[in-house]
Amino acid sequence: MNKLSNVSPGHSGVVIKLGKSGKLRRKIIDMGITPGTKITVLSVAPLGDPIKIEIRGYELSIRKSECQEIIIDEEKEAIKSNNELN
Amino acid sequence: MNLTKNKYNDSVQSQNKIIDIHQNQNKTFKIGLVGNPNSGKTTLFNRLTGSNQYVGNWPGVTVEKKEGTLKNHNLSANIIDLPGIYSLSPYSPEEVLTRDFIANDCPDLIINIIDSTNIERNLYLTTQLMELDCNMILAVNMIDILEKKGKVINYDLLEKKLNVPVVPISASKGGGLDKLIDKASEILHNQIIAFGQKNKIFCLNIESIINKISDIIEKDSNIIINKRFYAVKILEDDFIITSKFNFDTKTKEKIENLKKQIPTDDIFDREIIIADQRYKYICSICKQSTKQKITRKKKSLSNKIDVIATGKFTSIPLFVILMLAVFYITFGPIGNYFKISAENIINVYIGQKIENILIFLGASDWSLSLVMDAAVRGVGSVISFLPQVLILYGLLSFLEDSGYMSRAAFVMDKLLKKLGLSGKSFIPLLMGFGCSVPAILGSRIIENKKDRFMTIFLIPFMSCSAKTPVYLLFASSFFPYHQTIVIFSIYILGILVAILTAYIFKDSLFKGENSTFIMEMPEYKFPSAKNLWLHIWQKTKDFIERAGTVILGATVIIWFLESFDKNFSFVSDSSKSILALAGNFVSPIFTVCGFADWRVVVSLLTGLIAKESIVSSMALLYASDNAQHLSYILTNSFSIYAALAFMVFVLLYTPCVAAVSAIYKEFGSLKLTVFSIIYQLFIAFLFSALTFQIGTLIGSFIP
Repeated sequence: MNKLSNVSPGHSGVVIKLGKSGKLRRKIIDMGITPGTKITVLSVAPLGDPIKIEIRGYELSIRKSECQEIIIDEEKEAIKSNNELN
Repeated sequence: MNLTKNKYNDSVQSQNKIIDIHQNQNKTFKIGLVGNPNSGKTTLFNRLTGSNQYVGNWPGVTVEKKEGTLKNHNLSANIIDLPGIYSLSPYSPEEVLTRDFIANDCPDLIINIIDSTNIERNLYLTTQLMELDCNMILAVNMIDILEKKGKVINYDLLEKKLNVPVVPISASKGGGLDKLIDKASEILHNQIIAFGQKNKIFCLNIESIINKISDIIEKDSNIIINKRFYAVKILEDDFIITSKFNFDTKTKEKIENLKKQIPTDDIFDREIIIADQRYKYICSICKQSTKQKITRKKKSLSNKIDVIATGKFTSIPLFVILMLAVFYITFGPIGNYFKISAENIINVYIGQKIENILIFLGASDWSLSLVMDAAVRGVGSVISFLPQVLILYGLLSFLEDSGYMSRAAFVMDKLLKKLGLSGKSFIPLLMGFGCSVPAILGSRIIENKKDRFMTIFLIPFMSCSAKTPVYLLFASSFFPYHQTIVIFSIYILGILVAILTAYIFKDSLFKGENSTFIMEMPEYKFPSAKNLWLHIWQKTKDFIERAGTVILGATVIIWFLESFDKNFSFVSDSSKSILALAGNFVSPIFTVCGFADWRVVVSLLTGLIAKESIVSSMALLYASDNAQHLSYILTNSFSIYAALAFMVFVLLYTPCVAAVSAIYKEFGSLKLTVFSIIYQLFIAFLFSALTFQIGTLIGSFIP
């Protein structure tokens, strides 16, 4: 379990939990970051912030302060069945 | 739109339908283009309507609603191009615009354009659009790129699963568009219902709760259109939508109880459950209908470029090199060569010929003066700078189309954040070097109001391309061997003043909550020659049009005012004219800047109409025959430091009327607009005076 902002480039993990509800979280959800999805941290901007991640097959940039509350499990692999309609 | 269309199983309805079909043949329909940012809506719009709207490669190029007529004889329709949205819960002003249009204006048909290379996230919006009572077609775009990636989509299966018509297209290459129009025509003329509401996106429990809430909405507010959409938004506690309904306490309680029937825990609250089920629905559909034929290479070209473009040690040097290259190509030897050629053509070929013809025709002195001074020399002096303006514009367009802009925003975000801005501000700021007006409108991609206002406030300090003729004229006259470096310093000064301004106002005028920088990074694309040509051609047309209208108009007015005295008799010495009289009244203010000359004051004033007018006015007022002569007169009328001070003033003072009105439109506040004008004048005067005074002081020590 780790904050997305602390995951180093090249590492990936599965979203466990999102933070408090609000405008920012809504935007995060709408961009496809939901519990169970796999996120790969691609790179960190040269000045240390923001970071670039890969999610659902596309690339997204997000500030570290904005992904503080996104909790990632680096061990866990994306559960395939989780992505299917139950 | 009426909902009775849904129930056409009884015979009376079908009879009505036949009559309706007849009426529908001649109707002009309203078709809205809806989709994620950067999914190709404007490219499709241009294809369908034959227009030339601005397209680029970053999310948020289109910030305004644009309307055009469909070029097709089988179907009469108005196409509306809307700003891109990721979801129907909007954040930024242009996203609100799109949602309001779809939910309130009820177009006859929505073409939901999705990027096939990024189908999962694109379909998220689709699942929301399917909740509306509106016909829709899913246009799956960029299938040519998808093919190259070795991916295959089973469109028939996708159509069957989603219950809405699916048409694969390639908007940039023009493929599949006939099919798309045929499908639209079929739906609109035959009144086929192409709603996606039959789909059970959510689990049974939530579906039944949604149905119950929509029943409440229908009974309580008499809303029958889009009630499923509203019901879901109420479940999500969408603030804007819930505030639209005035339920009584009893109904409110009923709705609250329904909401509570959805089991939640500390990870999955209602908002997340709804989004999660949408994505699960999408994933299951994608899994069945898409196939990866060839396994993708580990690193795509985009990733390889990004290693350098956003790399720790390479990104900033690359950025600096790119900016220097743009600058060097525009103002260095290449740009200069084109400028000299243009000058020659205008003076030698066009100017001389016109003069000869007029003399041959026996034109009077004053009419000869009007045509030669105002039209040929005045406007001609501006047009000779067109090549360099175009080079600058073309290079910026190249960067815009390539996808580099969002990388630069990514690299610059942290620096800009320190100035109270966001990385997204970078794109409109860079566009400001082309023209302030689209840059100011383009700042709408910034969701945060404070950031957006600050960006707009700073854009005028990014020296626009219309100011380049002034710099070129002065730099080539006064610093013939150091032109490039002098102009470069002017640009840098503009940026420094913007940074200073940001520091001054970030904790006072533009104080507020911090912005976000959640931004999609599009894949790199090699800019299409067609698109590049389109940008350049538009700018040329715009430039010539301005030269022929506002700039010519201003020059003719100036010519008139400088050729007649207050008794309206023609004077050969313009220092006795009405204009000189008025100009002399104001010019003493500029003594401290070193250019207290009525001709300078008048030129600066015409610069408010269009910046290029400064050059045409000067050419006219300093009565020059051609550019070489103008340079000669200028070097005799200005000291070197006064020339520098003048360039600084032009860089920083109030932008043209078009830009000011754009600023006013975006601020929506007269007070703030007037403040920005006063601030610009103050800063321009301050820096111009400092330049002259310090320059003169240093100059006095150098023998």
